Amino acid sequence: MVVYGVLMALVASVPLWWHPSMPAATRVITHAELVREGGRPGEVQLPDTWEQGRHLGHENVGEYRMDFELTQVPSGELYAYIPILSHRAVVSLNGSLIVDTGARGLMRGMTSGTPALFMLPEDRLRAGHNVLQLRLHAYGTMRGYLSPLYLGDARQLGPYYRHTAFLLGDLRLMAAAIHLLLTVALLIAWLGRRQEPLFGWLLLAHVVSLPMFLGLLPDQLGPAPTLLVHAISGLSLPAALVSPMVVMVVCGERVPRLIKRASLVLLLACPLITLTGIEPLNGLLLRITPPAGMLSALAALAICVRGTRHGVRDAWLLLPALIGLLLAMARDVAVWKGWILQPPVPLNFYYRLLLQVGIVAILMLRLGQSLKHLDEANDDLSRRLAEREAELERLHRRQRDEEVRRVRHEERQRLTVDLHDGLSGHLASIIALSERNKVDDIQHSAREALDDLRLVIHSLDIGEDELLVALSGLRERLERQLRRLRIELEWSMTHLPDIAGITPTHALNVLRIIQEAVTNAIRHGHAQRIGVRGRIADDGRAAIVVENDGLPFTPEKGGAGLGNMRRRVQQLDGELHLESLPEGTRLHLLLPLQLPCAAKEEAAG
Amino acid sequence: MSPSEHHGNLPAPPTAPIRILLLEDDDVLRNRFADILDAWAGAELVEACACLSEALQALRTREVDLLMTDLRLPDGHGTEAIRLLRHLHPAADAMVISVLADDESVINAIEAGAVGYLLKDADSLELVEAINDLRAGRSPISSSIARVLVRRMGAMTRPGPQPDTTPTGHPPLTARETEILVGIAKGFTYAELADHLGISRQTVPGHIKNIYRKLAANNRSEAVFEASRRGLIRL
Repeated sequence: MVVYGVLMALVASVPLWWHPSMPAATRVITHAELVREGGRPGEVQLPDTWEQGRHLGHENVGEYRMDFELTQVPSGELYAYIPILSHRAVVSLNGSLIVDTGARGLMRGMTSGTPALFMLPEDRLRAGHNVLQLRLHAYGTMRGYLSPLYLGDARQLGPYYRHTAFLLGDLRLMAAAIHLLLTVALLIAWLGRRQEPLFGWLLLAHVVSLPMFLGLLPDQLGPAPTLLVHAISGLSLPAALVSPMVVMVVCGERVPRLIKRASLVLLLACPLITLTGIEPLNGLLLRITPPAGMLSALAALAICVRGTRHGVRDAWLLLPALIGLLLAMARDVAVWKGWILQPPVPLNFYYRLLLQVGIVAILMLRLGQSLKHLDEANDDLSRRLAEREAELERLHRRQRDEEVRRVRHEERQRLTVDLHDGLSGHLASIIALSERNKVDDIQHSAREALDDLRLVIHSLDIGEDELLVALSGLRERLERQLRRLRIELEWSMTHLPDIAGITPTHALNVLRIIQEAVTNAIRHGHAQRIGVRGRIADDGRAAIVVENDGLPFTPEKGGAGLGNMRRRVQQLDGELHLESLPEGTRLHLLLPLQLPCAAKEEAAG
Repeated sequence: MSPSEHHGNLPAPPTAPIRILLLEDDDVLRNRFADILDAWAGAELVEACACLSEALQALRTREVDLLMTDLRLPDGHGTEAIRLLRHLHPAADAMVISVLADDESVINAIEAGAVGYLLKDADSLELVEAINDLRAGRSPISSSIARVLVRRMGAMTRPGPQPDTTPTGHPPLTARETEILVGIAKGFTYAELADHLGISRQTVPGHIKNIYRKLAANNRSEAVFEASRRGLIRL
């Protein structure tokens, strides 16, 4: 910021401390006789300037007559160098025309003031007294101006000429190029981000200022169509007035709607006025543009100063350029009005370049800041995402732990119920039997207890589609039991359809129903042969049929065992039918192909 | 291929009783099994041990055809005795005595080298039948144990050429052995399975003994045994 300020101040103050030294060892002509049209000849000191022209189409002409002795100038090829003249010089040496600098530029603004370097032909030089006649043309409202004239050889004068040509020619082209480049850049920025008012206003300011460089066109491309020149010269007032709005936006203030509308009206009306040339509006426009420009620059400066007092950093970037611009404008007006005698080079164009630097600095700083904010936002988002993920992970872990706890609890409940149903009953019987010393019954009951424990344990990890595995485990246990009792077991589950929704509870219910049926057949039916078969029932359900060749079933013998079976069938959403055969009993267990999701809650025991 | 050809474990001739080492820490159960074996002419009870160290000592000094062992013992695990048996008496069989025949303990024993298991509430008939079956090259398997084995040997059911060893480190099963194991795991009876595969019902247990042998030839368990034998690690 400090470096920027120092640099800006240094550049802004160049005209104050930097004065190009004039060629030494050359003959300088500072004295001339001037003849103006319709005026009397008179002696003048160079530099000399005239009053400004009255209107755009005006042309002031004057002829300077300068004398020099050939002995007073360096020998060899002789050149004349005029640092600044305005605006066209037609030079004759001893009565014969030697050079015409040309009527360069229609818009005088940018191109007023131009250097000239030309050779004084040897064959026109006289041995003694020589007369140089310089006919100066000044166009439009610009002043005529002629600086002192230097005579010397090309080697001496050339560097000075090129230096001046750079300042008055190339630098202005560079300014135009920079302006054009910024205009394009701003257009792209504005197209990319219309909601940003700074881009819009800066683009507008740059577009309406483009005609400022129009004066360069005839030099570079030849004369432009007059109509076009008139139309776009009408933009000079809007261009003069747009700067306060730009500064407002830079300072982060909102441009009032009224000003926006007035800008639009001006933008459309001014070119229309200059195009149609309606008087007195056209003349009025021309007259009010310079003071309006001054006022607008003052307003911009005031807004900028207010911005700096409100702590707007960007306002500080604009401030030196604005002050410089205002001073330059004041100086230009003073020169134009003839209050001070200075070359008629409009310095405010150069200070606009400085303003451009300020604007680029603001844009780049904002870009840098945006990128920094973006990085910070990214970092912030990443950090918050990580925190969020950690939080989710924590929640997930807690949920999982709770789920595990819940499942474990349910499993414990189920196991308690299952063991209570089977094992504890058997153990209670064993205790009762041992009190009465009934050894055979104790052994029988203990075996049943152990079998039931195995039943419970083997059904623990029965999952979907694994009813057959559970049934097979039962078969393995029944085979041992029945072999001991020398009862034949016929088992076939190959035709049992697939049953979905098997849970350990469902599996245990099915197994216990079959076990109970087999136990009943052994205990009450005195069966010799027991068949257990799976098949598809007529109604499409799954059916497991347990039949024996013992005594026919009588309901009064069912007892508690049958009640338990019915309770389990209910939990399975199934049906149970008992059928008495001439010899034996047949039990049908009908199961749906999709078992109920949650086992129907029923009080255990 | 019949199991007897495969292993050369011919059933003991009727004249020579099977020399059995019993290892069971529960006194009542040990005495019960010892009584049953004493009463059976086909068996010769070498020793009825109550702890692992006794059994290991007996294995080192006595000739044994069959080891019947409980798994959880006061001074170690029954699988140690099985490993030593396999090492010192390669022709002998090992049988696990288990109260529940639950999957984990039986499979651990199979991987250590057991080829059969017996429930603790087995009566004398069951016991004799189990021993005879085992010596005849027939091993029992329950559907739940088969199911765990199928799950663990997922590579077996994969199509394509069979690798030399499965991911769990034992030799691959033949297609027939795989079919039998998968069938049992699905809950088919031996008879249903034999019908389905077109083989004799009696050959099914033989295939199962082969499966057990292959499971026992696990590189990992062999390595662990070797290491423990040389005193490198304590089992």
